[in-house]
Amino acid sequence: MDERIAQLLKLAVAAPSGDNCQPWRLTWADGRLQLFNRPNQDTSLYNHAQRASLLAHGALLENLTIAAPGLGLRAEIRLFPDPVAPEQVAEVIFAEGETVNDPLSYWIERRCTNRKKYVPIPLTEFQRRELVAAPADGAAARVHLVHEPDEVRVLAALLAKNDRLVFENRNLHAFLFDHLRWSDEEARASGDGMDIKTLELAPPDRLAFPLLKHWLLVGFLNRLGLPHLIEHTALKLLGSSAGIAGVSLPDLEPASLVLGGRAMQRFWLQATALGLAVQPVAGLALLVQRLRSGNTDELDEAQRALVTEVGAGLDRAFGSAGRSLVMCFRLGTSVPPSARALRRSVESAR
Amino acid sequence: MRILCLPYTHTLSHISRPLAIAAALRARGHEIIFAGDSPKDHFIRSEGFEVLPAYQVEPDILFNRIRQGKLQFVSDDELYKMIAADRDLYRQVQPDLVLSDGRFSAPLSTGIDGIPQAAVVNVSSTEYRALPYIPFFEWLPEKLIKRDSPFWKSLDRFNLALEMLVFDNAATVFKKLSRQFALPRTVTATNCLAGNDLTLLADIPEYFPTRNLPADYHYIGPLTWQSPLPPPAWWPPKNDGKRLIYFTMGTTWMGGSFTTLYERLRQEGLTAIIATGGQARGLETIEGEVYVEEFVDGDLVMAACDLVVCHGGNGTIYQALQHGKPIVGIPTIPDQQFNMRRVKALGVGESLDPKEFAEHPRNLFALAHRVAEAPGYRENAKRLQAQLAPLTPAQKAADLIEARFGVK
Repeated sequence: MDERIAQLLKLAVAAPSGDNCQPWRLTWADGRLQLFNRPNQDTSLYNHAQRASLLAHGALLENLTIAAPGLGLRAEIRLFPDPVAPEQVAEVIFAEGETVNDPLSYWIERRCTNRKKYVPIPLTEFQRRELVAAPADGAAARVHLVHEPDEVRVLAALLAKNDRLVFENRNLHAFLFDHLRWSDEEARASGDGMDIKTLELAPPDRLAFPLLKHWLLVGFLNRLGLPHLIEHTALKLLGSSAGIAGVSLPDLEPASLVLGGRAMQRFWLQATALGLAVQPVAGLALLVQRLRSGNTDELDEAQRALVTEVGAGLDRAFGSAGRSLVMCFRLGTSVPPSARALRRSVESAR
Repeated sequence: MRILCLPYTHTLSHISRPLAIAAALRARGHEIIFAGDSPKDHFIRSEGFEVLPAYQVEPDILFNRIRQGKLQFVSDDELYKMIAADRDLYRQVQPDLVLSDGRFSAPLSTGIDGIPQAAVVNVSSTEYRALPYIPFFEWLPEKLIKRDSPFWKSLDRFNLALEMLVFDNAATVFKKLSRQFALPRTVTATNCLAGNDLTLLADIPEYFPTRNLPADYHYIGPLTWQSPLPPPAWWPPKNDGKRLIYFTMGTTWMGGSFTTLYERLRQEGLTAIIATGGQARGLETIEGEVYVEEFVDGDLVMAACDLVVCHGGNGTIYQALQHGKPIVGIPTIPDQQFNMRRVKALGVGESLDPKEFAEHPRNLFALAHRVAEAPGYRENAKRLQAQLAPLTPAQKAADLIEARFGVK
């Protein structure tokens, strides 16, 4: 493999994915890169119809597109090249091209999730303008950015309910704890999932958190109000945001989702370039779309009602009615995160 | 290097210093971009520098707080907004260095983004000043404690520690943000005008002494306003043997008193040149008595006058001393009071309380006559003039910047 391709793939897989599950497989032959989805990597309720995974694939392809010109390559992407193989997400054909550095390429390996409490420094007009314009010209994805403190508070209250749901729904709970890595060694060995340090837990919470992986205990604590406590903590973090953004799509077709993932990645890279800390808070947006697609599995009546109510609230707050909201982010100013999620090597993704 | 200059552009003193340094750095091949948001930005543009828009706290708000003695001179929200505006500029300009003057958000914003920062500042606005900013013990009779006694020096040190402690704990947002962003230097209300990496002191040690000065703080000497203005149409003034007094009230004059001053001047048998700083309208020049201009070339006027009457702004005092002229000051903010205490201590002028001036305007003229006539003030001013003459502050600043940050 061309050394430049190896370098490019390393940057491509720096893309984000749900709980850092990295649902991709890459093959390289005859000067062509094939990108496949691995449907069993993300089994969470959030990933209905592989939507979360397709967003992640879009982010990977965007990284690749941004980085390629810097290495003197031109990447031509064909989405879903084989109509009977939906797991083949894209084929990328490379050609020699002019060496031009995209300013966003610098930020690919610096982009990360920051779950710290943010400092209440407001977004400037310049930042807001750049963020809303982050998806490439003509992209069908749209960024909805809310920055007025009252409106941020409304959205924070809605999105904080996701953390509560994680501790009320067995599937969501299991997915989270399956992807937590409890030590540096474990994080390095697996190369995926989330280092416990990335959750930025306060010292007492850090001690208690391992106990919460036991669903029976969680079930008991839920009767004592644990989900509300967790929601309250999430609300404090979300409330410290200078802005909350949503990314919406005109439809949820697989190709639209991949393109949406590309727009999402551009947004995240741009926010990083603007010096902003970013945390994706996508769970509820994806659950809302799952419910709206008629899939009510594994959500009880109260949870369905909650998701429905949140969906309406998000559409109102973002002005996204008639479109499909697939991703939300909180934004602000903060010190760097305590740790970053690692990636499996490119070789192991093949 | 690409250098972003962040002065507080509402006051000429904060414009003139980085402007002089910028000119020296530009001549050495560096790229300089300014940012500000004030009607006075045209002074910077007229020197051929680009000025990008940047949020600043309005001068009325800022100076009213300072005059009212409010220790929290900036609100948390204003500071957050300034930091956000600074960081936008860093994204747009991608500077190798930020040079600030009076921009108290700069050490925080550059610290957050890891950009080197130098600042131009007066000793009075640093934690290394050797003399108290607000003297708590001046009331103690000199007969009881001699001012050169070791006990008085201890009192001074206690005074300094106390005033900084009070100030830093009144405006805690600086320390809070330093902690939240784990900045290598703790920024406080006291040191927020200094540089993270290099601090250029626009003073001379005799005028503003320091103690325990760290290696990254350097005296460069005063950088006074070099006016690009041509002489007024009436120049030279016709004073027919009368004393010529220059009244310059900078850009922070308390409104309302210009008319009083103007009326009194006409009765005093003096010839005066008044620079209003754009703060008075409707006053007309009367040949041989009062010459009124919005802005004039200070060096031109000071070279010709016998005495300078001002607020006690640092730039004006140094400019007067560069011309060996004695000073009468009417200080209205603590900075100016601090300056005027030094003027008195060095025997180059006297100070008048603004209230006394408002109630008894005649006292200003009595004082002006006294200072202009007594040779001691003029001799002391001449002595300091000789000290200032060989200094090249802008070149020294440029040397220090290149030595510290390299020549890219």
